Parts: sequence; structure tokens; C-alpha cells
Amino acid sequence: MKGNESINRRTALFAFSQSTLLPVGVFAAIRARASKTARLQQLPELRTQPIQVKPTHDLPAVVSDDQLIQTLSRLRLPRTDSPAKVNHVDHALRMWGHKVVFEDDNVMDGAELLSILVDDHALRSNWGKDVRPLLLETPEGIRVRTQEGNATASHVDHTLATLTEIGVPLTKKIRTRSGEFQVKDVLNRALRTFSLNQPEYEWTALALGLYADGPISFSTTDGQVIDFDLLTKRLMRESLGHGVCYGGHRLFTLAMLMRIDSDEHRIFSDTTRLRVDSHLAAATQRLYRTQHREGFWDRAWPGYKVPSKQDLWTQGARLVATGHALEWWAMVADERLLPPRETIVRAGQWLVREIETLQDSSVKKNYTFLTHAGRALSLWRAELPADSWTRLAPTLSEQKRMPVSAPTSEPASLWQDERGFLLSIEFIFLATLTIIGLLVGFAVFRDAMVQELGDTAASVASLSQTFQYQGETEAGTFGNGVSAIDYDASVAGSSYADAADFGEAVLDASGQAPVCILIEASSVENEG
Amino acid sequence: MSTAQADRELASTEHLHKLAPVLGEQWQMSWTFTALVGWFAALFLLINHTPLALDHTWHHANLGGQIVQHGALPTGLLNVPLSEGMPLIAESWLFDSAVFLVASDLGPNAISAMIAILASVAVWLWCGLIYRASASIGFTFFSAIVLGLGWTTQYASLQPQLPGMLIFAAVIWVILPAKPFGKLAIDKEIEANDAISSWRWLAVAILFATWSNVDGSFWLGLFVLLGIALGKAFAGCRQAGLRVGLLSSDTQRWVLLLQFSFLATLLNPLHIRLWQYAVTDKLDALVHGVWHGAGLYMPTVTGLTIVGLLGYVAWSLLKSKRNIEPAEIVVTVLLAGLVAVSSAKVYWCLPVLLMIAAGHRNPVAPTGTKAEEKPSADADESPPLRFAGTLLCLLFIWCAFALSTVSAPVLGGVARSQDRMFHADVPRDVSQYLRNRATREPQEFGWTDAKTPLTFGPADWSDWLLWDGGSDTRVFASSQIRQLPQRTQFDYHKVFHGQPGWDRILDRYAVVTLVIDKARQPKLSSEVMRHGDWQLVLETSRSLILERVSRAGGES
Repeated sequence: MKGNESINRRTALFAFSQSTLLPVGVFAAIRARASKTARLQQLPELRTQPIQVKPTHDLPAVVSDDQLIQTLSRLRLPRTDSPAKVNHVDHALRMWGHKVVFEDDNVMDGAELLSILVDDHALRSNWGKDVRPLLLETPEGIRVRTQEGNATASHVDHTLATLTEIGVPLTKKIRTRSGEFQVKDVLNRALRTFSLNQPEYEWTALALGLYADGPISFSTTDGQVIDFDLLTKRLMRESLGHGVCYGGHRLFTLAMLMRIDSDEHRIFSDTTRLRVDSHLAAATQRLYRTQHREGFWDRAWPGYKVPSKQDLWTQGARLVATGHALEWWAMVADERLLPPRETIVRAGQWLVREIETLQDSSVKKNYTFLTHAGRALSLWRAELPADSWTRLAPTLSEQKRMPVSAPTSEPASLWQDERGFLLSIEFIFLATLTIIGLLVGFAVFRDAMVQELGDTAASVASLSQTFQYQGETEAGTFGNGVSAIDYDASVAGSSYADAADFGEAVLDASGQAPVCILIEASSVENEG
Repeated sequence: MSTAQADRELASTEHLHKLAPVLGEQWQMSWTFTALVGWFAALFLLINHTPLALDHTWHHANLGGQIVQHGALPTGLLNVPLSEGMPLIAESWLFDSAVFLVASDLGPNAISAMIAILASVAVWLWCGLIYRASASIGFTFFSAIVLGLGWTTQYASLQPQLPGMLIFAAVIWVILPAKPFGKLAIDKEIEANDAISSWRWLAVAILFATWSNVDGSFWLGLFVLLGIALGKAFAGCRQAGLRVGLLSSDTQRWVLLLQFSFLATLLNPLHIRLWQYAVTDKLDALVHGVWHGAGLYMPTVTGLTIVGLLGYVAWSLLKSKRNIEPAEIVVTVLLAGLVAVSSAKVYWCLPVLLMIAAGHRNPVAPTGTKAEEKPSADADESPPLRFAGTLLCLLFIWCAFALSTVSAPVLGGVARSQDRMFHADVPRDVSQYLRNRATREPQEFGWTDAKTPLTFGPADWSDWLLWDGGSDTRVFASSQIRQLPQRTQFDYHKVFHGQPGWDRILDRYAVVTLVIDKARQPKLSSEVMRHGDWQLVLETSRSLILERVSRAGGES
């Protein structure tokens, strides 16, 4: 009996343990799968309001107030008959922010710029109702259509980074064609589809840095665990000049992440911090070594071969390289990582001069590059462009406030062309005086030349070919008288008389024009 | 016959009689057994002299080096910087460490010897099991040939499946007396006791604990145990109804053994993470494989072999004169299902299925040794003991030892040349170049990060290049290409095939050295030779090595 009881107890225990363990095992397996899925979809902790990294350097030598306001006034985005490129809107918004008001009907205010990017209605009112949507709903979140035409963004997550940099909170409403969402959905989509080795990643890294609420770690769909150390390694992996805008965006992002690390919260490991430090220092050294004496850089700034010489010196390349260099330096707080002040001043002044002399068509053509340059100049006055505008706009007279107008006709454009001179009239005066002075001189020179040529002609004409010589006659006898012979001989003479030709009759009298040349005689007088 | 002669004959006969008790008739080997030993000797030599191939060995050696040097499990592939952040589960860490120690201290010959010993012992153990099931030396010989030839692809590289296969056989060996597949042919122990003794529980636990540290294939052992437990439960239900059958002592025993083995697999540095990995990534890989053609495809040699084998097992079961155990049916069905979704698992299923089939051969008298023959009533008429087979076995064993690389430390001799030691595919000239090249300064290309510059080469070459190419070598992708993010895998394939944009991709990844397999990469070969940024520094019969040239002239 005892044996049977023992067996029954053992069996009961077995049945109980198995009925417990089996569901636990199944649950654990399901949980493991679910946790993996959750881990892959889990996003880092983010703050609602992005970090605002302020510029710290105020150097009027880089750009004076007058120069700054003149420059900025040219970089407002004009309202034209044709729809504004999303790329331009994106850059204009990044430069000016969404709060700026210009009080000028010809240019777009910040609110309008923002609405085009985050509100499908505004985009359609700008581009027409048939335009393909910029914001698309996807299972991962909201996708910003990129590199698919003028009504789409220019770079991956550039629009997201713009919204971040101008301080738009993650809860900001955005309106797509399918409904209302938030900026957070754009960021979520960017992170869920992020791959460390995607070709464009600078803006994603920047947006993540500004929205991160401390060190982050999240898994990509590949399972790769991303943190700021790894992101930073990626940013430093490529050669300095490689990438969008000759590597300028990567340096800008690195500079911003360094500021976040030093000013807000530690996001780097100690090793990474040192590596970023040395990377930025190396970039500064290269820039210092490769600056042109006029103050600009071009695409060859990292010191390696470029595709062709023609591209090397294009204006656009200079604007890109110089504007971006000044922009990321402006966000570097550590003086050790900056070049000598003279380098920055020369670059700033080159940008000011260059922007001032650009035609409107060139401004439009290089608008995206110029926003970086204009923003950089403002940052070197420790301000954002909108703040500079607010401060300096009242000083700008109506006459001087040159709206970025629609493209003008060629004659008008020529009339407005002030290249190389303060005023066009100055050029006209100078040119007229020069030409008048030259006319007198040329007349005197002409007379002298004619006179001397006439003298030469007269001297040749004075040559006389006249000559004469006489004949000879001889008569006599020779022999001894017996047989003497009489003889008689003669030879004829010759002569030539050079008669006077036309014009030889009058000698070249002193103070007179040469013969047959009437310098001052007018046709009327001749006729008369 | 003289007395002296008779005495001599007597002395001679006495001498013979004196030999018998010393050696015993169990040492008298049959000719079939001798042939089996000869086959094993030949197999051992074949494996030992198979040149080392590119795959597996050097990956595990690199990983082992990482573990030994850092004293911790690796979290990423060392010197494959693009894999950083990708989770790495070092499920064969113990094996990897052993490979590293053997390869670095004893060299490639020792690797060959290790492969030969592991593979031969595994085959020998499985053949022992098959003999225990069939009691037929002939069938065992047949199985030895099938296994020896079936595992040929495993012989050129040292991979954790080899010790895994060995441990798998050991587990079956330990549990066999508990009659997992019913009553087998010759083991008296089986008839004596159905229970699993304590030491067997302990042995199984130790084996599974070892297995989980050596190779990720340990789940296959549990899979077979699960099949046995299910079979036992089914048998119990059939005999005594559902409730009693599920709770029968036999079912309890096997279920508990299964759970005990499962707990034993947690005795490794990864603990439960190993199982998390198994039920997520490995399961995903299995499912992914099914969708991408890793399952059984009939019109191939492998497919036909598997179908033939399964047909043979089914035929054996149908024709069997002994009772068929439900466990045998369940295990066969489970293994067949596994092979159907992943044909590569045939290496694991082959010996188990052979063993199940062996248990259902018509009972025959064991022919392994003369001891199993019934002695004659008249001892004087029994044939004299003949040890020719035994001597031949010894000769085979000695030859196998003497002709193998294992004997070199004892017998000396001329070492194998490198050409015979390594397969022709191993790019030794490339690794030699990388080892001896001057250090490049990445700054000259505008890179500031000294650790980043990479060597791009065929992924299957890269393990070797990392092992033999010097400690400074860093590669774009190793043979574990799945350890790279998908984007990087995509970029790798674009560059490998010389597709448009390959040069920009190499810029993006800061690649400084380019290694090209001329046979497999003709397009990239022609493209790169026309490209101004790359300079040919070495060309061999099968490879090109190019270095990124300094881009002078860009200074403004």
C-alpha cells in the first residue's frame, strides 16, 4: 500500500510539475520572441522639446552689422509665381526659423515656410492640388519624400533635422493627405528604418542628438545596437571631404554633438570624446592649410585630387565649402579646435563680398548653399539669423532693403549690375573721361604720324634722276709721208632731265603740311 | 617419431596452449572486423591528409583568439569593424578557444590531426551504436562507409559540428541501455534494467552541459529526447489509456531526462540567452532557410539520398520481426520533418536513422568476434585460434598512426609542405602580402581615424586573412557576413560584383586595400585596373591586390 501511495504521490507531483512547467516554457518562448521584436522596435527615450545649441562667438570683424543685414536681406526666400522648391523652403526654414516675420509681401515668412513642410494643404496650395504628397504614412511612421523632384526634400532626414534645429517639439501636429500626425512620427520612422551605413545619415544623427534625453541605445531592424559612440565613429569614418557639401554636414553634426556632450549631458564615452576632439582638430588644420588667400575654400579643401580643374574654382563650390566651414566652426565652443581668428575673418569677409556681388539669378541658383553662409555669418555674431534680422532690420532703410525679387530682364539686370564698382554711374564717368582723354591724344598722335610720313614722302620725292654727258670727235694723219693715212672718229653724248612730278612743285615748307596732304581740310571746304 | 621430436612437439603444443589464455579468443578478429578497422584507418588518413580549406576553421580560431586574449565572450567580431553593434552569440566559445590554442601553439598540422581524431571517433562511436542495435558487423561496416563518405564535406575544416556529433553519439550511447528504442540486439544490460541509473543521469547532464558550450547543435539532442519522450507517452497511452499512459513511469522518466538535459544546457556563460537566441534568431534562420530553398529538394543527390535513407528506414520498420517502438516512429518522423525543412541537417539525422533501421534488421548471430560463436562440445576439435585479423588490425592502426601527422612528434619525418597542408583556395600569398606590407597612414587620404581603413576582399577569404595577415588587418566582411547590417551586406555584394558605384562605396567605407579573386570577380578586376585611385601592388595567378594611391595635387 505504502509503495502504491508513494507511486501515486510521485505521479501527482510529476503531473503537477509538468502542468506548470509546460505553460511556463511555452510562455517563456513566446516572451523571448516578443522581447526580441519589442527590442527591435523600441526607440530611445526622447525629449519633447529639442535642445537648442546657442552660438557663442561674437566677432564683428567677421561680419559687421551693416554687412550682416545687407547679406541677410538677400537671403530671404522670395514669393514668386512659380512654386518654391521644397529644398529651398527647407533651407530657408532652417536659416530663418518658423517665427520670423519680414513684413514684406514679396518674401515668405517663417510660418509659411513651416506650413509648406508640415501641412499637406499648404504644399498643395503652393504646388497645386496634383502634387504628390511630401509626407507619406508608412507602417513605421511618417516618411518625408526625398530626392524625387522639386516638391520633395533634398536629403534623407534633412527636413527632420530642420524641424529639430528650429526648435519644433515632437508633439507638433503635421497634416498628411491621410490624416494628422506628429513630428514624433517622422522621427520614429527615421529611427526605425535607420541603417548605420546608409549613404546619408548626418541629419538623422543630428536630430537624434538634439531630441535625445541623455545617452541613447536602440536597435535597428538588423539588430544592430546604435549609440552615440557608434554614430560618431560612422561620422568620422569617411574621408574629410567626402559626402554632402564636401563633408561639411558631418563636421557640423560632430560639432553639435560635442556641444550637447559638453553643455547638456554626456553622450560620449571618454574614448569617443577624445577621438571627436582630434578629428575636429585635424579638420581645422586642413582648413587652415588650404584656405585661399582671398579667404575661401573650395572642394579641394581636404587636400586631395578633385575630378576636374574646371570644377575646382566654381563659385558654387567656394560658397559651399566656405559657408559650411564657418558654420560648423561657429558651433565649436572650444577655442583649441578653432583656427586663428584671421582665418575666420578672411572667410567671413569673402562671403560678405561674394554675396553682395551676386546677381539675383545666382542667389536663386545657389540659394541652399547661401543659407548656410548667411546662417554662418549670423552665428559668428552669436545670433541666429532671425535674431539678427530682428535686431538690425530697423537700421535697414527702405531704399537699401533689397527684396529678393523675381528674376528680372537682362537689360534691367545689367542696369542693376554693380559688380566691381560702388555705383554704375561711377563707371560711366570714368569710362567717358578716359575715352575723351584718349581721343585728344590719339588726334595729336595721328597728326604727328601723318606729318612725319608726309615728310618721308617729300624727301623721297626730292630725289632727281637728271644727268648729262658730252660726245667726243677726233681727226688726223698717221704714216711716214709716203703712205700717210688720214682718219676721223667721234662718239655721241647722253643726257636725262627728271621733270617735276605731281606734288613736287611745292616744297615741304616748315610749319606746313606735306604736299598733297590736307589734314584739316574738310570735305565741305574741299568742295567749296 | 623420436622421443626428442615428440617432446619438441609437445613443448610446441604447450606453448600454443599457453598463448590462448593470454590473448583470449575475444582478441581474434574476424575478417569483416579487420576490414572495418582497415576502413577506419583509411578514413583517418584520408581526413588527416585532406588539405585545410578556407571555411570555418579560421573563423573559429579568430573568435577563440578574441576570447582567450580578452578573457570574456566576444560581443562583436574583432577586426571586422562594420559588424560593431550587431549582436554576436558565441555559442561555441569553448570549441573556439580550443581551436585557437591548437592553431596558434601547434600549427595547421595539429588542426588536421584534431579534425581526423574528432571525425574518426565520432564515426566510430556511431558505428558502435549501430553494432549494438544490429549485432551485425556487416551492417556496421556498411554504416561506417555511409557515414564516412556522407560526412566528407566536414573533413576539410575544423568546425564545432564535429565535437557536437561526438557528444551526440555519446549521449545516445549513455541512454541506450534505458531502451529508448526498445529492446536491441546484444546488450545484456538492456534486458537487466529499464531504469536510468544515477550515473547515466549525471553523464547525460555533463554531456549536454559540454555540448551547449561547444556547439549550438545541442538542441538536436534535446529534439531526439523529445521524440523519445513523446513516443514513450504514446506507447503508454496505447497500452493503458490516456491518463495512465501520460503519467506512466516510462513517460515520466524520459520527460524528466529531457528537462534535466535542458537545465544542463543552461550551464554556460550565456545561460538563458542561449535559448533566447535559439528560439528567436536560429528559429528565424531555419524558417528563412525554408523560404529560400534550404529545404529538401528531391532532384538532387542529397535529396535522393535522404529519400532513399528514409525509404530504407521505413522498409526496415515494415519488415521488422520485432515490435516497433512508437519512439522510433516519432523520432523518425521528427527527423524526417527536420531534414525536409533543412536538408543540411541530414548529417545529424543520418546516424540516428541508420541506428533505428539497424535495430530492425532480421536477428542474426553477432559476427563481430569469435567469442560470440557457440563453442563446440569437443574443445579439442575447435579450430585453432587465428590472429591474422588481429595482427592486420594492429598493422592498420599502426599505419594510420605512422602515416598521419599525429606521429610526427614521436616518429619525426618530413613535415607536410604548405601546398599539401592547405587547399589551393587558401590565399596564402595575399595574407603574406598583408603581413609584410608597410603600414599605411590613413591621414594621407583625408581620414583622421587611424583604426578605420579596411581591406576589402572576398568574404570567404577574410577569415584566413585575419588569421594570417597580421594583427593590423581589418576586413570589410568575414565569412560571417550575416553579422553585418543588411545595408553593408548589400554594399559588399555591389562592390564584389563591380556594379556601378563600387568606387564610391569603397570611399564611404574608407577601404584602403582591395583584394580581388580574378576568377570570381572579373568585372571588378577590369573596372579597378582602369581606375585612377587604385594601384596594383601584387598579382598572383588567382588574385589581385591593389592599394589606394595617395591623391597628390589636391592641395589648394
